[in-house]
Amino acid sequence: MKQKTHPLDRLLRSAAAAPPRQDEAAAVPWTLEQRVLAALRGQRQPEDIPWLAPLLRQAFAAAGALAIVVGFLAFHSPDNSVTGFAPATHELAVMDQELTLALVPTDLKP
Amino acid sequence: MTDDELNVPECLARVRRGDEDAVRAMMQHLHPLVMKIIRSHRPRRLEEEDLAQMIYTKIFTRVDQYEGLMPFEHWVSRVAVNTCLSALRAESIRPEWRMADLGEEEEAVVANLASTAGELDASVQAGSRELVEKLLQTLKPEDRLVVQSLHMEGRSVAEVQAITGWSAALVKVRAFRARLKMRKSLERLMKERTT
Repeated sequence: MKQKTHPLDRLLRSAAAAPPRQDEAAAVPWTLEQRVLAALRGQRQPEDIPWLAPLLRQAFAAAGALAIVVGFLAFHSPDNSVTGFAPATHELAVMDQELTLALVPTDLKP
Repeated sequence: MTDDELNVPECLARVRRGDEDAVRAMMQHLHPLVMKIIRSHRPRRLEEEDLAQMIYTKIFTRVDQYEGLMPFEHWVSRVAVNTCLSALRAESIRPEWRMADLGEEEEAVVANLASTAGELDASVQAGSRELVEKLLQTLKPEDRLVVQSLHMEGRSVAEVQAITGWSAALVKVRAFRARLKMRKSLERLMKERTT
């Protein structure tokens, strides 16, 4: 078969015959290896422990429900107090009584 | 384990289980192939290592998509070529080379082509390759891939079809169009040299 003689054809033949570059089959650089492994770890991490995410979601929901129930019970307890001490309104009444008595003229005091 | 002894199916199974030693061994096995593709189809502004990372990450994250219908190396070639094509498409500016942009070796090749009608001397082969790489940069990514594969790597049309998934007619049309554009670029350089 007759070879094409256009300069481009001659150029392409010459280029194709060029010896390969020296580092063409070099080993994988350490930096490249680490970058690839890091990228893979980053992508794989959520799938490594697939049971953890639903468990955390359920625990969070249970904790929220428990907090609501405790809050509700505390609000509706018989003494209307979370801590079990007397309600704050009783203390105010005592204070108010002291003030009222202090304002009463001394000759009317019991 | 040396690369020659690498049992690809067994290594692939370990890669799928997330074994990092298997990933390392597979990278070592694939590196010459991947680097050859990168050096043929790398955009000018992207570092080899960055492109290699993109390719390897894609290979190992999508390894479950490999069904074993073709050799693993063919599948890897396809992933690598498609990644390079995407990167080349992102590089919207294609240069138009002038004689002033060429190095000494490339200038010598142009002079040689203009002065003789025979085959180029073996001493200028490296310069020829540099010049061809510059001319390839002026082409569309798909055209560049076809010329590189057919003329530089000596692949057949069928092999290019296997890598790209294009029809034989499309490969031939792209090759014809690309050669035409390269001819014009080269002729302009040769004309510029004589004026």
